Amino acid sequence: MVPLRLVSQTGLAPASAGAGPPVSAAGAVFGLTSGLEEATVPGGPGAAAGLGFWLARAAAAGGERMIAVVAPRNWFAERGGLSARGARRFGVEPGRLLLVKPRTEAEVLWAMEEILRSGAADLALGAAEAASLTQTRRLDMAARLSGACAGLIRVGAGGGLSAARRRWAVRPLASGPDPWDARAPGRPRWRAQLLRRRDGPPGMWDLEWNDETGRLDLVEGLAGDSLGETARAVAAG
Amino acid sequence: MTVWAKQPGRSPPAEVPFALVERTGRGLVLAGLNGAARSLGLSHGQAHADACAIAPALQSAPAEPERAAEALRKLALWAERWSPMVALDADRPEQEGLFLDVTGAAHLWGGEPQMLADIRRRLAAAGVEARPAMAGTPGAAWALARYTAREDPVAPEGQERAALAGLPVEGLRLSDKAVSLLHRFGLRRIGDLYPLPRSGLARRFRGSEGLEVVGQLDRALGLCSEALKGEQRPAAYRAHQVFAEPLTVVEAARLRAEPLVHDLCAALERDGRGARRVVVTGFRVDGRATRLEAALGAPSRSPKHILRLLREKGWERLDLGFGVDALMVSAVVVEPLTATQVDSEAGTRAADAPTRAALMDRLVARLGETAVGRPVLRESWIPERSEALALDPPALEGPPSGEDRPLLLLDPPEPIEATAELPEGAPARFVWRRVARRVRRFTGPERLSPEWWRPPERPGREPRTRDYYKLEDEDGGRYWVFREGLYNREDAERPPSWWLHGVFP
Repeated sequence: MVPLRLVSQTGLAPASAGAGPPVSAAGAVFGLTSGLEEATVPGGPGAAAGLGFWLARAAAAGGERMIAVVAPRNWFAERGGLSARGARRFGVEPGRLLLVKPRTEAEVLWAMEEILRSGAADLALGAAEAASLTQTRRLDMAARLSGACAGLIRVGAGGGLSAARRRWAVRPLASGPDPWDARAPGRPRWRAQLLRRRDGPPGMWDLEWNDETGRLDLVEGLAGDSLGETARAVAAG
Repeated sequence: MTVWAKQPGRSPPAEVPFALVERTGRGLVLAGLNGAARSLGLSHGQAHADACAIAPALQSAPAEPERAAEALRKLALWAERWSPMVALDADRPEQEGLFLDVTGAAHLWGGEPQMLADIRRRLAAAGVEARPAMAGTPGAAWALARYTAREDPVAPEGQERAALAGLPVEGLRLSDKAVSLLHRFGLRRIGDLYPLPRSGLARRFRGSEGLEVVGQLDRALGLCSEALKGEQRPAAYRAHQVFAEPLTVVEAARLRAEPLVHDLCAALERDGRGARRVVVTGFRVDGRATRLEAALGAPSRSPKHILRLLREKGWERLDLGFGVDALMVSAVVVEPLTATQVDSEAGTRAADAPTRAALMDRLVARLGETAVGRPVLRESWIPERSEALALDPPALEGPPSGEDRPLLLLDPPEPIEATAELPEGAPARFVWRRVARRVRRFTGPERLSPEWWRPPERPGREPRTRDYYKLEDEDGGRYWVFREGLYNREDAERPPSWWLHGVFP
């Protein structure tokens, strides 16, 4: 059974009232913007989902410059170290990756700003739970100056004030079946909810990373997939 | 110059006989003496009990050879203010000293005697009693420093022979045995050895002493060369400035160091070179050197970049103490750096490289070398060994491998409680970090056998085969777990166990 995969707007209703952005706008939503974005992810497997979501977007956007991942040492120790072989599955070559493991969150923010200002990176991802409004403004400014994207990943509840241009909530979603093995997990899926956005209405999408085409696809309800139904019910409710 | 392990407030006055004592196989022996003790006839290596009988007023303290060696090493770093080439001479107890190669440097102090006077004055100000001497060979300088009564003796180039003639043979850095043999033959002065036929002199003694005497004589007279082993690799490029008044404020030191960095970069520019490691050394008035070091990922001679790195390292790391009266900026590691050429084919990448290198330098300077890296793939199929971080990894080649690996890899893997339907099968549910998860989909196993050619990480605990499964729980979390050990084959010592090794996005 080969699942149906469409590059189109999902059938899910957005969380807020009204229809989500039209089909053509979906690409613009998931492309990397120049400026600061923020994502809250649940604990446990959530951190990996948040990183995967961003790496996939960066890979789909193309680009030649580096992709930096900055997180405190204890963040990596608790959630696992970033694996270059794992990143390869998301279309990011190890040569593009830069890993920075400072000790404190203040150093994380400093390093992110340094990386963005240098103009050597397309994307600087950072894990900082307690970034202040001023600090996020600085990051946003640095990112816009170099035409790069800054991504803050927060585990658990989203923080307070922030200058982020987009706020996401990302969580892993049960995958569809593997085309060759019905029992095996298929391609990674996430539910990405855009909670706040400066340049358009919010929305919610179920995404699937296709490592063959190197694209993020929107998931249409899959025939015979009971989980699709569940997700729909959750989203509608 | 003998370096004492000084304890502040406990060094006795010069007129009181004082000795450092060391515990050896034959009891307490003297390991270091001051002038008053020596004038009473005490000597190095003498038993402490005997010494007390000769000089009842003798004061003593336990010797600390490690601290003495450390003090000498620190003094060597400080002595770099006179010459980039400083060698320790710590082989002979009681006669420790430093060798400075000042070839071509004396004119900066207005001549050789003036330089010696400067060395003696500054060491005395730092509380180190020293007798400097200068000669064309290390051996001659050694003898002059220890066995002349004159102050600041200088043996002009080529006149070592005359300068040494009247000095005792001990000045040749001979072993005690060789000295006593020479004395037995009535040869007491170095000059006594000059008229003797060399072949006879070498043969006269049994064993190696004859060769030792001839060899040391030749070295002292410059007939054969003697290589000095520097405490540090001498810096090829240095910019140096001495101040009339010691600087006590870090900000002042920073302002004074800036022009030195510019000078250094100008010298590098002239020779088409770039620095890979830059050291700022402050020479303190108390005879210590304080250093601030910055490493560069790619050779550079941009003063702006180097100063920025030093600022991020933190000028406050320079411990000025009671003040520094000289500053030096040196390029310790230097590489050729020619004008860069942009490769037209890979134009963007080549242009990226300098920005990238500069960025890495700044991150390393502030966060440390272990905190920054780019991944390198290693040839190993054990997941935790298959990757490493490097500051400057080579470009990767070859097609990506098809293996499915998690994005976040736990190091070390965490133990989980797993329940499998079959002993050899995939888990149906497992508990990780106290949360129970029901497995909805799984794939596997992927069997990774241990790399038998490597020694085990924990001795006595042989690594076992791992069966990896990719699991998906009902909430959509995807995990990489493995069972370590095979049933019926590797479970003799301990039963197979389950571990969680990574998380897929």
